Amino acid sequence: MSEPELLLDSDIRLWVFFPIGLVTFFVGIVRHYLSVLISSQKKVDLTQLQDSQVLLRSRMLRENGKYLPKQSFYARRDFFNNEETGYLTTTKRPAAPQAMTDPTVMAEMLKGNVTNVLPMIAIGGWINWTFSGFVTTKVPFPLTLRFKPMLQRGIELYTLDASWVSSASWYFLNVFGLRSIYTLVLGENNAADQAKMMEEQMSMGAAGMPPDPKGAFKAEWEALEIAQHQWALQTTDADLLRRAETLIAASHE
Amino acid sequence: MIGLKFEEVRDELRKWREDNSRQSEEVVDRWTYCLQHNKNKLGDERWMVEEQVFVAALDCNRMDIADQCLHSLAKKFPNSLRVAKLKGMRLEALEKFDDALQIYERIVREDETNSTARKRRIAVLRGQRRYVDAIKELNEYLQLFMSDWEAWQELLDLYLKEGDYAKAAFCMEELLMSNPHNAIYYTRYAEVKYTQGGLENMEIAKTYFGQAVKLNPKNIRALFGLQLSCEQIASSPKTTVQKKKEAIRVAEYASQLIKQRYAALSSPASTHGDQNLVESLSALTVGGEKTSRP
Amino acid sequence: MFLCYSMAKAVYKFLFIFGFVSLLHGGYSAAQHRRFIRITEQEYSTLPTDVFVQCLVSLIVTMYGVVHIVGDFREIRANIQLENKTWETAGNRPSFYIFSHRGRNLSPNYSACDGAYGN
Repeated sequence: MSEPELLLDSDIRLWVFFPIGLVTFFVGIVRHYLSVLISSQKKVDLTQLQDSQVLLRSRMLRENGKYLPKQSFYARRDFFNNEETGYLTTTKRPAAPQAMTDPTVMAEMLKGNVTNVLPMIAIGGWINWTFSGFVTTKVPFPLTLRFKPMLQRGIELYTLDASWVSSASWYFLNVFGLRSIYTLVLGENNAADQAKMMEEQMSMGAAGMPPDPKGAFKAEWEALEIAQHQWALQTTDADLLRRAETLIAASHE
Repeated sequence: MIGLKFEEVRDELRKWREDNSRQSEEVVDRWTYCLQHNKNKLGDERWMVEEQVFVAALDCNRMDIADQCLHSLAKKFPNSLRVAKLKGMRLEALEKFDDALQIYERIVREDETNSTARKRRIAVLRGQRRYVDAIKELNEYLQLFMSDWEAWQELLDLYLKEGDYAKAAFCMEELLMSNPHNAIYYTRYAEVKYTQGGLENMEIAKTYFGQAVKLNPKNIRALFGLQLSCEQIASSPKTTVQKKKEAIRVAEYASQLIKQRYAALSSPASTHGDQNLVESLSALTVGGEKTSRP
Repeated sequence: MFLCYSMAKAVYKFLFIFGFVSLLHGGYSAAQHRRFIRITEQEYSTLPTDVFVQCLVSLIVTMYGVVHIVGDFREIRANIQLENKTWETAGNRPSFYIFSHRGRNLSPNYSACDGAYGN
């Protein structure tokens, strides 16, 4: 490893490298406040809340029921699963509504797109147009050729070392790399956090309300039906007796 | 009190908030001697602290402090339902229960999923010493919010007040499921079962006291409970000889552990008092055995 | 007791700073060594042993110091934290506080004739 094979113009640093970073940062901040402005508090239905609480309790019963005496466990299981009076068998909930027909869901999705996808495309396009074709920086470690399409978007030079980063790729690195800076600036739990937003969109159902209470009840009923009571305190008595005997034996010696 | 450092006090209050501990008098003290003069240093935490101090002040019947906090909270969040609930709590402390109830009704009407206002309605009944009504309301509440452990705990307490031990045990089982690693819950459950009486319940009590001892050997209450429940089992005419022998063993073990705990804790100056305790404890053991052999 | 604690803290802080400075120094020596190799046009093989040992030792010292400065370790067993709790705290229910209890008689501005539900 001798000198770098390329010497970059210092104007690139001043007029390409820094501006891209700044632009992405401020766009992130603006998007955060925009999403705060237009997002609406999700209204929760009382029945939905009730359902989620029931499901939580029955899950607890399945997981921690082994700590209860046998009788108590089966009494609770009966409360949920009894064929005539059980909570999960008798409660009738409508099947899940189609997501596309529900206007509120549509509006939420639209808002998400407005704050997330549109700026991404717009700024990305603008950056590509204004700053295309620059080699901006170099990562301080060697990389294999596989990284070339990721780090050198917009530059088709086959002989260039893979650790050089092009302007378009620098933009993408910024978009995904600035996350921890946002947490620092905006505090935890902010909407500027893109990856988290994605996650939320994925697990929206699992987190709070079951999107399909009927299906969830059925699944829970099945799981409870096969749940058996394995008393976790089975060995406690014998264990105590053993301890008692060792202690008493020790004290008699 | 003069030497209180702002950061220390802030951390203390934060810890109490997280631990859910009551400490009302201490909170009020910290507020009057330190935080009151450093409100702006708290930043966004200020509102949480003021809420905490407000509740603590009501608990100590320091209406002057409570009004002061409520005033600044209401100015900051004029439309908040949470502040509306605080206003209701103030009325409760003044024993204007009907006015408080009206506020809670309004909150529930505006947001029917608001569980805190529903809980306050039950607390109002309790404050009026109408335990039976409170139990009824709380049961209805639990139909809606089945996994609200705090409510189960309240129901447990109300049933214990009414002496309905079987139902109290049921509530305690719910709590046990919510956190099966907490030795205190095991102890409490065993105590309820012990109080319920009968050989079967006593066996359960013994096992759960034992589990509590296993989880936390320092739990002196569980040790005493283990000893007593074993004595009871041993003295019951229905127990088999083998079981009786085992129970006596475990009781002996428990009292040994208790003695060890006291010996470890006591300083040389106070051994005399503990000696008395240990003696009375062994007297208890002998007495238990005597009654078991008529 | 407190003095002893704060002194131990200071020792760890010193260890950390010392280790960190030494680590930087080691890194600088390594860079200098490579520059020297380049100028004299020798083939680069490995770092000199003293630099290598210095880097390793100072890294360990720094880690040791940092671990003691940032905070106490938490017990891995779940019930240890609960061990010192009492039912007083575990059974406390802030949502269900009632204020017409006997404690208010201790308040400086409360007269017993005010409430109907006291005690």
